[in-house]
Amino acid sequence: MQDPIYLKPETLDRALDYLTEYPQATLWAGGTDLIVHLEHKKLKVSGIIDLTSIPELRFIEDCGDKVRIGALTTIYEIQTSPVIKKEFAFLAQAALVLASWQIRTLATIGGNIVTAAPSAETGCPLILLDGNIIVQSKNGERKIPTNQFFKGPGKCDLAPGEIVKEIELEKLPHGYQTIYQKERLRRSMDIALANAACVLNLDGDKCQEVRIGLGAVAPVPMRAVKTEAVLNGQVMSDELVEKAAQTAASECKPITDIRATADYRRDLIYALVKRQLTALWKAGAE
Amino acid sequence: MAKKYVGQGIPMLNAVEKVTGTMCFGADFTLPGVLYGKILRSPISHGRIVKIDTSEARRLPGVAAVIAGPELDLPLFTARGQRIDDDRVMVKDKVHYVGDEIAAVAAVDEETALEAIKLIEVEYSELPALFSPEEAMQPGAPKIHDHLPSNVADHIEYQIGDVEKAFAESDIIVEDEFYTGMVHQAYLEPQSVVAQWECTGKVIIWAPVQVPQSLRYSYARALGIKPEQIRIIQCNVGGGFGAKQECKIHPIAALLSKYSGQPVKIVNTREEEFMATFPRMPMRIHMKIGATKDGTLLAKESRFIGDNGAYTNYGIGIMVSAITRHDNLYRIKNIKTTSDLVYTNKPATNAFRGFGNPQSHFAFESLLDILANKLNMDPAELRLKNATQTGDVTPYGWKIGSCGLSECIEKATAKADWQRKRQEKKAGEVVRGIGLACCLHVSGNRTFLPFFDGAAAFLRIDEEGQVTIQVGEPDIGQGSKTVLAQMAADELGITPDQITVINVDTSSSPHGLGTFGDRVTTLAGNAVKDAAVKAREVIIKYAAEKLNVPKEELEIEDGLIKVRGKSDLRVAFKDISQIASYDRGGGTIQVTGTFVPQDVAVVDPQTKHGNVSCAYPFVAQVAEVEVNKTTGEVKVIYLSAAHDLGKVINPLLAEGQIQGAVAQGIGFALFEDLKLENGSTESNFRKYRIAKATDMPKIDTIFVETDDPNGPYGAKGLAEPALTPIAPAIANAIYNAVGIRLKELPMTPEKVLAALKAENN
Repeated sequence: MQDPIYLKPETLDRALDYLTEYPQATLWAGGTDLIVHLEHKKLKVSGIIDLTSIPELRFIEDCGDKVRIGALTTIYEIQTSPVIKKEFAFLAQAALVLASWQIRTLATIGGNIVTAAPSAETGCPLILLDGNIIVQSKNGERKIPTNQFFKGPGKCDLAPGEIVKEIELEKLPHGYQTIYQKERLRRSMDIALANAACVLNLDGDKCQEVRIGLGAVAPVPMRAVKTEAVLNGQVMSDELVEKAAQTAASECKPITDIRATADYRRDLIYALVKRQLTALWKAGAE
Repeated sequence: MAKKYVGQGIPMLNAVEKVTGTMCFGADFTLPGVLYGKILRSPISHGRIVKIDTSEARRLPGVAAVIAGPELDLPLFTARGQRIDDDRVMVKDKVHYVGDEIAAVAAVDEETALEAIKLIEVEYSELPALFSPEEAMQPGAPKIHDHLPSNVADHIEYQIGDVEKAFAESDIIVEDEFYTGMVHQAYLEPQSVVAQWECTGKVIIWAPVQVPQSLRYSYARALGIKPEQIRIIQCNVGGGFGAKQECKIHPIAALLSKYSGQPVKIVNTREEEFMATFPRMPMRIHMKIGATKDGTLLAKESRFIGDNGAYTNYGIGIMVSAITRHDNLYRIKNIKTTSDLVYTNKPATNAFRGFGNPQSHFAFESLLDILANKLNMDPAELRLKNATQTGDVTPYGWKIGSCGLSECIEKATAKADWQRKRQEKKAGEVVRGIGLACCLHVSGNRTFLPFFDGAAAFLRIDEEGQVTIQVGEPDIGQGSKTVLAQMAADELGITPDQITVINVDTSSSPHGLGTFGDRVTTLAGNAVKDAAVKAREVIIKYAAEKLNVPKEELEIEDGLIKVRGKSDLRVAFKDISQIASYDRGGGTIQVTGTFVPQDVAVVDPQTKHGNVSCAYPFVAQVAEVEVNKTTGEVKVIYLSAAHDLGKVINPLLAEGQIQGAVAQGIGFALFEDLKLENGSTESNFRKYRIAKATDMPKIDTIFVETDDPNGPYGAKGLAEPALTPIAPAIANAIYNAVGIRLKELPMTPEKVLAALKAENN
């Protein structure tokens, strides 16, 4: 058995060269999933390209109408970034409850989306925002809208030879509120049984625009379009919120696994959507 | 004499080694030339081994030994002093659960050993597997152990008083069924061992274990050799909680060493820990209680079914403890109990902090709450009305030398603001509730190890005045080395840091039964105290000669031996130690302390009558929870824990014991659950959730000191009963919050929500 090749490029160009030379090599971003898989022998690698020393992929930049996030930005940096907290509060909230403090300091946003877990913390906020995942290969750049990047559990729109470079997100217009929450068995260091994110723009009590994302209840983080249709253009009320929460519970597609049944996950989606809409509605009306 | 160190919260004497990560635990220990062992475990739940071929594995370069159960035909054995020989170090011809040991390899490194394991070919003929005791008890169910009469390993039935009459006289009868799940001790350090089979036939085993002396006897039978051939050297233990007793990796490493001629090390992976070590025995408990209108308990009838798993180990002792112990908590005179301990094709269950008591108290303390509710009576009042008191002799013949149960109930409820919170209005989505539960335990348990009871200590004072103490009870992380040093320091008039309590080596330590059953502080403590008193007499004798004064006039304080009232006449403890040593031709002062509790009996096998322990600790805990009615989530937000531990030797460590127990209790109550997936309990810390700091409530610790006549300085046990009441206290608090009764552990949000929905329909 040959030892795997270990490569540590310091520029994206060099990383892409390596990837061309060793197309079977595995990319290492934060390593928090990779190391566990290697340790448990669930993954065999022929080579590792360690991306952790590429500074050009680690940044958060406010570009006026957009925010750019380098793929190797750590979850802790997202959680604490004043720009993220101001523009996309729910993305910072999601980062804050991802795994443990230790993991957040290593794990990256690029790694989190490429791992493409249905319960991925950053998934729900990202699919609700207008923007792109920008991937780079030797042939050039490709932009994938955030809501089209996730393809299934562990699957995303990333072709051989491509590396996720950055996430560009359009800022939300003034007055848009956001929220992210998760339900889990234990209060920290636990995978979401269900999670949800919501973007809401109110005009008084009227719902001008709502976007709702649901996680861990479908193969990919899903947009709750039927629920949004219930709310858009309507005047917020307890009855409307109740109807929306029920719609969300029925339109999600959870499975039963060792952690929870599908029915219970629907109950959690009901609870999350109701809680989030109520919170944003009450806060927005103040 | 006023105590200077007993009662003081001094930090653990080895705390620095622990927090700096420099302590060498069992899993860290190694020897020059060590080989690494790996075990081939059964991938199926139940089946016969038709064929095994180890030849490929033997040919792999780097492999030093391959051993296989079917090729060795090892003798049947069980844990020391237990009745049913149902186990082998490796299976002979039949596997009994996923994880059962079949073969093992020793190789130059772990990777080679793992590769060799994969090269062993085994052909099975599968048999139907039994995963529930109820199923396994059915007539005609496939037998798990061919040589035993049935899948019921042990059946118990007894009656005390006249239960039928007492139920007939009861005004109110409540009855229900409860279930407690399979949970794992989840200690930080996995089971580990280094073993060396010497050319003389002597076997040395280095391992982090709780009962070193007993292991010699168990492994002598398991390996078909004599106990005097085996020496166990106890390594520092990274958490035990009952699980670090007999473990087959120890004799497997010994056998691998025998066949390779080199020392062999085995460390379990976390997956192996969950798959093939010793979770708490799941129990289904049906219980019925009768009482008068004023809340006097008259009668109790119970039926227990215990999930033994594939092998019995201490299962019978656990069941006896589960079915009998809680009956001594309140004054009930008429008791009828039936129990069955049943084999299943799952990992062998075994001791876990509480030894059957967390299971039985969950049922009993929940049912008492149901009774209180039916009587429209404050649950605290119901318990106070029936509480056992100091001086009671219970229907089982237990002699209660000290009992602070009533005081514990009063103090725990007062501290938690019980009356106000219990009657608070329960409205809204997130509702608070408060619940009380109590328990009792033992301080040493005569029931299941009949050989003898008591403890001994060897105490040595070297020529520099440094004291070394050996007991047979390992410190498994709870801090007993510190507590024993505090006791000896007070008796000898020196500081605890001059005293080292060392790990057990069976070739030089006293024959102690080990660390379990909350016996260390009480039994080993008494032995250490006795040794220190005897050593002090020797020191005083030499000092009296040196100072030329009668020994009655001498006292020892801060390492100085002084004539009472005369500050100028003094000599250092250290100098006397040297004089004594030289006077004896270099033979330092060495004494043996002993403690044999009086009036403690082996329980009668039929009636279960007999005073099992010399002292009984009591506990009352009040839990406050928040229940989310939409998600079913339960948060424990507050806990007041009142403990009658006789006397606090070290409040810092005592509080630490309670906090650790609360974490394990919350996990047991709310989310820990070792589930079967394809017949296997293999898991890891991602799937198996233990409580984290964020799951912990604020805890108020209350110590009730009842000064037990048999405890050293009055001290009784603490660590095990600290866990027992938590699950029922939480269940009772959930009931108080939202009016639903959870009868099955763990009480996951999903179950809580289902119960809430059922209640509303």
